[in-house]
Amino acid sequence: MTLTFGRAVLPDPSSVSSSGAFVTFSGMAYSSASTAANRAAEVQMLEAQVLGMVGNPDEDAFRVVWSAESKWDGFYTEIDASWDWVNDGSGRVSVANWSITGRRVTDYASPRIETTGVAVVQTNGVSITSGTAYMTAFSSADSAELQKTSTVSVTRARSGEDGTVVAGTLAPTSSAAVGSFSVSIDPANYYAGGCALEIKGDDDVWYEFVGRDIPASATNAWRLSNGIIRIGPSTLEVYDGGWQSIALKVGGRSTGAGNIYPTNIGQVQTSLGTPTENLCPSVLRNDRSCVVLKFNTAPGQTSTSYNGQTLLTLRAGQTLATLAFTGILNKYGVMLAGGTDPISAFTGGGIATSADAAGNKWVICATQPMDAGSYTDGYVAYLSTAAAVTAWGILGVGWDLFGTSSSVLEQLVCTANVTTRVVAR
Amino acid sequence: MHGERHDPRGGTVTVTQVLMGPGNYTVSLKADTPQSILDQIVLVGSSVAIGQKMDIAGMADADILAALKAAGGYRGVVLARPDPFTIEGQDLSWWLVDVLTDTAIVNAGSTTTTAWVDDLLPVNGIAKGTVTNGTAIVDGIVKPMTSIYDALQAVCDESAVEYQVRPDGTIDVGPSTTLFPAPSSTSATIITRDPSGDEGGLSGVEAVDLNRSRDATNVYSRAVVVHSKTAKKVKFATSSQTPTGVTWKDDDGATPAAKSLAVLAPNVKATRAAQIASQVIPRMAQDQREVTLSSRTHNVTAEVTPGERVLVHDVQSGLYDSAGTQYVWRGEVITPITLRVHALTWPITGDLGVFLRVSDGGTWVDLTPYVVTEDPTVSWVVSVAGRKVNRSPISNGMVTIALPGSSSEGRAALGRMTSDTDTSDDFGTWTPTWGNITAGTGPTNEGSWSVANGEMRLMARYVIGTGGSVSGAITLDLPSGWRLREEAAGSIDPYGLVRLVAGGTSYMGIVDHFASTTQLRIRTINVSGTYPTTVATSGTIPGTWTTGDAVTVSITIPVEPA
Repeated sequence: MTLTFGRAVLPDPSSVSSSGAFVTFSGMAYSSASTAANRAAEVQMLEAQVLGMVGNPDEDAFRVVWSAESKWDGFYTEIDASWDWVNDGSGRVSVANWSITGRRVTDYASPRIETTGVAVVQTNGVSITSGTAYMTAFSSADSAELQKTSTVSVTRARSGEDGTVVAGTLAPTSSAAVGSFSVSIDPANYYAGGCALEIKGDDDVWYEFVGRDIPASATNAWRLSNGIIRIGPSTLEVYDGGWQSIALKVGGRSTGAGNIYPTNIGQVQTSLGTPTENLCPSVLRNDRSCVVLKFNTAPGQTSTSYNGQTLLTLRAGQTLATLAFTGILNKYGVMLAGGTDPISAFTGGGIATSADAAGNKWVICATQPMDAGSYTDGYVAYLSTAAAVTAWGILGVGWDLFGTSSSVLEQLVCTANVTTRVVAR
Repeated sequence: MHGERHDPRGGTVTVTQVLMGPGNYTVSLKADTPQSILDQIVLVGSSVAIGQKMDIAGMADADILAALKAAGGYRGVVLARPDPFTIEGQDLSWWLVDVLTDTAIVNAGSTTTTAWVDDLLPVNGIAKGTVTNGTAIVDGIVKPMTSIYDALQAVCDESAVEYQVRPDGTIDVGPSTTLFPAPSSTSATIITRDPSGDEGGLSGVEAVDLNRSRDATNVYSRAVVVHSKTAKKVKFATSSQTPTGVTWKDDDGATPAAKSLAVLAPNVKATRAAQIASQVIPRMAQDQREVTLSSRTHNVTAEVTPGERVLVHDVQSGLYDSAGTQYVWRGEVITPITLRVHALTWPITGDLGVFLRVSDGGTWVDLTPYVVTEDPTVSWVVSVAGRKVNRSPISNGMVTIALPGSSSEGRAALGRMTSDTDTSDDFGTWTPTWGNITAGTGPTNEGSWSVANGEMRLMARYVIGTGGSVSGAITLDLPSGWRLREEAAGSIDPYGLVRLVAGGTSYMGIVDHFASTTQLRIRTINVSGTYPTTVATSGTIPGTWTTGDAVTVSITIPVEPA
């Protein structure tokens, strides 16, 4: 029996008390992992998942599902939580008393989740003037109560690890498109189809992280997932019946066709060709519609004087992740390795020439024209013209799961900025 | 024991700055401030400077002021001591208020902004700083007994510029976008609900309470500028525009009848009235939009001053610009809206320095250790183009050029009544236009006129040059912009004597008729019969016109602006 509060899967609470609209769950947190070290790792991750809900700047409501009793299932806001470690004599920090209080949202188990967005066609050099911008996606199991403004379209042709999802999209042109899109969803399916920032605990298990206060142990042990694609410091994965991965690097070349100095995402190099430490990301946004990580370095940078930054963004429902680089004059690029797929160039990027076993092709694209080719360990596409020092080079990497190279490029260029809230029915 | 002083009035330790307005500040000192410090705080003759912390010991006055200006500090005159430990006052523009021009300032012809600012400043130690010219002002007059503060506002209105008082005692003047550049991706302040922080060239400010208000109570679709002539006759210019930001439909779903804003501008000519109408209506034909927000950020005064253009982005409040410039902010592409900061109230926090400058800067006192500091929440008032808040009105209609101006940022349209009947005072010199006189080489042609209460006293003189003469009936046009008053046309003939010198002999002539509403007819008097008659001049009447001959006219006629 478990109580799932937000993303934390806790053991059964020992008490539940209600006061007006507020409900307080309390109990003990412990783990049944096989080693003491793993038990400590798991429970410490639980603590982060629970305390991350308090004052969370990105999510306004958290779901509750109690496997023993569905009476309190629903969505809760104004979360307050306490976590008190107990000395269980094991010599490790692995047992705690916890208490979580939340205000139950009206309509209990089935409120309306509204996503409002503004979508634009990014300034680009690849001749895209309009297109489809993805706002967010929800599990289509509960898509019965769907409400939307006329500017929003809905597509159900997407499925990933969480099953089929329904995605809301906007169609920006030369001016922004604005719209909102609501679903009513079972708490158990709330995060299905959405984004998650996952961090690997000391027990080598991946946990979905809540909030922005990321621990230093996340260095090189993070990945972003939306159920369709997953991206980590040096891997790109796609879900088609199972997760398939290829190796990923980022890099850039300043002039000519020289080396491209590949590094992991967020990895510094003291001199070109010598990558050294991985940096811990900062979390700029972490909610089910969008996750943004920031690293204080940029590909090709060997000195701290360039103010380089790397931003990695993943949105729900999309088949690509966005990489934005700034700080150093560079032709930023992404390198993918794995299999023997050569790369075929197209305006705005490159796509694997032949599909993999599941019938999918990886894609690298950018808002400006790219050149494509091979490098030491695989295939690369990089900007044809170096991005200026203070400008952002915006690239995308993903899969053509539900479309072609053009639809993947369109997902990059047409982008929506959304907020998701729990509102009245 | 001395402890933290608790202000018995519960007042705050803040500075309020307003765009082109005096603002105010309050500084509270702790209860254990030494008497020797308190005694140096003198009213009027000292000022408070607030900026980054500095070690001012041994620094020259000019250097301290330069550092203050460079880091965006504030300086205000010490004006009030509600109790010995509290200092209140306004910014340096206080020195311009109620300082009156003893004589009129008249600049005929086209005069630059810089020249006008030179006419007004320096005053009381406040001098001009960097001045960038706006539109030149034509035939502008500042009447006697006008406050320099009001005159400066009026010059800025008319010249389509704004001003900014700097903490070193100078005033920068220039077009709005020169003083307060538009945001760019390499340098801008952006206000969102995200935490503060810098990214790329954008400096982020977190909005804690964000409120966006919209008010269409006083929306207009037509401006009517009345440049009244007499109590009976009204002349006006209009300009219409369909209001934006509202759904302009009446209760039946039809286009409503015009809602008109009347602007009284008795000092202007018709063309200027039309210009004013077309300048006023765009600002009034929209809902008034104002955004107020609080933020928690330190040292905001170094980054933002009233007048600046900042980016604001909050989709929920509708604060975005669907056709605006794209910015990459915290990993997402957004299109924020650009708003102007009109007012800023910020607390004096522990990381700021507070100093006292006595009189000419010979003495500086560091008050920082004694100042009670505040929790760092800043209140902002920002708005989209619309009406400007806290805009001081022009006083008493004493400034001729102070009419709803041409600055592109909205301000309230003014209405101002001076006399309730005729056109008000005006005067000038002009080069008269004569009919049927051949100039020759090197003629003299001069004239002057003045108008009071609708009566123009007009003097004009022409001396024929070498080889010139008269070719027919001489006529004289009125100065441009004026015409015979309409109800007088056809019923009143002007009469005034004219001196004609023809062939070297002085003859008596007369203005006896209006040839048109803007032209006087000049004749000579013929005494050949029993009763004198009037006869048209010609090349030989009243004498043979030649070099050196002259026509001099002096007459009073009823007029109105043309």
